[in-house]
Amino acid sequence: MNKNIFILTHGDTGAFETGTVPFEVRIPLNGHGKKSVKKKAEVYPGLLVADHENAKSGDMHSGITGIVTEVTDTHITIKAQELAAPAEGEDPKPTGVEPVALASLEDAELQAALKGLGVDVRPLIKRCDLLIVNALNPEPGISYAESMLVHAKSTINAGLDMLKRLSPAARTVVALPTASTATFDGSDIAFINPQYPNSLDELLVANITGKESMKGVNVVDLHALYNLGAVAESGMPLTHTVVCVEGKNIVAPIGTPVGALLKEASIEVADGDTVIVGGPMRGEATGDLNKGIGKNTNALFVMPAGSTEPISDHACFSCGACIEHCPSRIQPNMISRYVEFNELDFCRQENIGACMECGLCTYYCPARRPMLQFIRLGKHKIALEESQVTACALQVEE
Amino acid sequence: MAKKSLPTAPFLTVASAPHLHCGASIKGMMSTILLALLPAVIGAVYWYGMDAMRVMALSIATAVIVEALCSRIMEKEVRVDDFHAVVTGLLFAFILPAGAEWWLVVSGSAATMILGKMLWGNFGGAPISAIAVGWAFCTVSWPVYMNVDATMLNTTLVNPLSQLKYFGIDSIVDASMYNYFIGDQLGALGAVQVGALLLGGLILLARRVITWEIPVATIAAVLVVGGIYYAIDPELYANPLFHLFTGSTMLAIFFLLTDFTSTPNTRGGKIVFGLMAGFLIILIRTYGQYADGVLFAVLLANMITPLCDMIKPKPFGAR
Repeated sequence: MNKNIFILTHGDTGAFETGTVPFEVRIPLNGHGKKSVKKKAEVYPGLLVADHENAKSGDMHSGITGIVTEVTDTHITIKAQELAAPAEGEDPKPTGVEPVALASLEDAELQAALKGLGVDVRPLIKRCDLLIVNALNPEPGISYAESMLVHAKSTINAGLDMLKRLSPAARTVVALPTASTATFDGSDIAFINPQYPNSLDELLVANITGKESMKGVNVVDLHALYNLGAVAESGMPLTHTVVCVEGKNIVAPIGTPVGALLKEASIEVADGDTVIVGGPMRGEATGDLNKGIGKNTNALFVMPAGSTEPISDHACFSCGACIEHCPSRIQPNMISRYVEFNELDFCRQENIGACMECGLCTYYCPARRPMLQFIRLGKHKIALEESQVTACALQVEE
Repeated sequence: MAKKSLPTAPFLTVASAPHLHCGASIKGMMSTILLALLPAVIGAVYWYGMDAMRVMALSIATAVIVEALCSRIMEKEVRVDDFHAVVTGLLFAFILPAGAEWWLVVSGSAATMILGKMLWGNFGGAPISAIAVGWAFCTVSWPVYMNVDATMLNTTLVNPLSQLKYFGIDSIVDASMYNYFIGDQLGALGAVQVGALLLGGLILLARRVITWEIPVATIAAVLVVGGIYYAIDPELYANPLFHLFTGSTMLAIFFLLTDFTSTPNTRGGKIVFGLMAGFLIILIRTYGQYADGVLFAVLLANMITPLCDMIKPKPFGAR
């Protein structure tokens, strides 16, 4: 039982590596309705490929030069290749987009411009009095935060300035790991013990405000701030993001296949391995190495086959390890049992909503029960039930 | 073309978050408990010889076989390989006299397994300590055969609790706590290996198989309540340390009261539970009919476990 794996500082402040151009990108779509490109269309970096009808969800742009080979509801595949030279007599084809001057824009116009550049504006403009920038590595093993604070300082500062313009918050606090030397003009600094789960938004807010409530507080993590900063600095669409691949920080085009990134970091994947998109505590395992990374993908990990015990269907034997380690002070052992037997009212009684899904209960469970999954399932079922109740109530009113 | 650039796609495992695990397992915990019981096993063999070995082996074998059979009958997965049956069988042997008849060991161990564990489903269902159930079953059914003084006539060891009960405080005044500590007293074969059990308990605490709350609260309650009686009349009541170092107290503190399934999980609940158990131990020894009332104290304390579990902190963010 190595306790040090929960320490979130790695002392790594090196520059990010720039990934080689992948042979293809699969730009993930999330309800993007209107596709601006068709199959076989020629695209170049920064070209709009899909538009989101919601005014606050970012559009998607191509990160590479190439040809669109597939357009589906979930993704757009672009094969990288040099575009054919223009035929004689034709105007030369465009190879890039013009930057947008964001400095002169205000409020709604600024938001619209950022949306057009691929930034999800909604989480940034949430109504709040206090804005907290979470500058800790989100999970054990992820190591981009410290490097970002040192070598991408200007991007972070540009992002922070833009964030202050967008957010209605009166005060901004940057949460840094203890002993960090980073400084920010016009923002307060709070030092947080860099130990998981202290990087979770809820605990961060409790640590800074002293209140266990997210009311009037908005937390923006460093990854999102970096993406915003990259757009604010250049005025160009968001096409690249930082991904921490097993401790190696790579700047890669959005949509780069997971397999290509792992290859980039020279990680071999064998049969039976688990490839995790996101952190090892909360990330999702993917079964497809061709899956493209999204704007919010901050990490990739590979767990070799047999490195952990598989999840079991063993009954809970009330050892209390989950309760001992739960930062929400709830009883995951009882909640997981109630979810198993579909007793949603008891789940509410045990405050399933207070769970912040850190995954520590499952980490410590000796019976290897899928606690986090049970809790997520329970929350989902409760939300479903409540939406049905609301729908029924609305029908009665009519 | 596109597919050629990637190596042939491996067949990946898809699991749910979190993908890390601390490595603790039921088998590991049970192995640690067995390791922690090893000093007491050695002590038992030292003081009682092959008799103790016989009882322990018989009890463990019965427990394992009964669990396997029950699982088969109940059409459940046979999980004897997690060593829980071994631990239960060994702990049950610990509370028997070394001279126990073979049928007593077999029926008691079987009752422990059936009534204490399998009847409640599988490991994790029992609301009361299986060992205490087995002990109560045997003590109520065959009190003479369970009585250490009656079954261990060929030994020179002395049972301090019987002395105190039947001959008064004067019979134990010159008893040495050190002798009790190293196991120089008559009692159940493993329960009286006080020093060895303490060592085992410390192993469990160090390996984080159990937490400190229940042992500390129980020891505190035994010392405080025993101390109150001792303060009232030292001529009538024994020194509180005497209660801690005799009979099954130490076994209960580290191995029976910290049983996973039958004890509370929250910190506050554990402390209340431990205090209650310690209080009951002294109370039963002082006023009860049984000289060593520890196992009944365990049973009774298990009864208030659901109440103790109600003592829980406010969840994060609750007003």
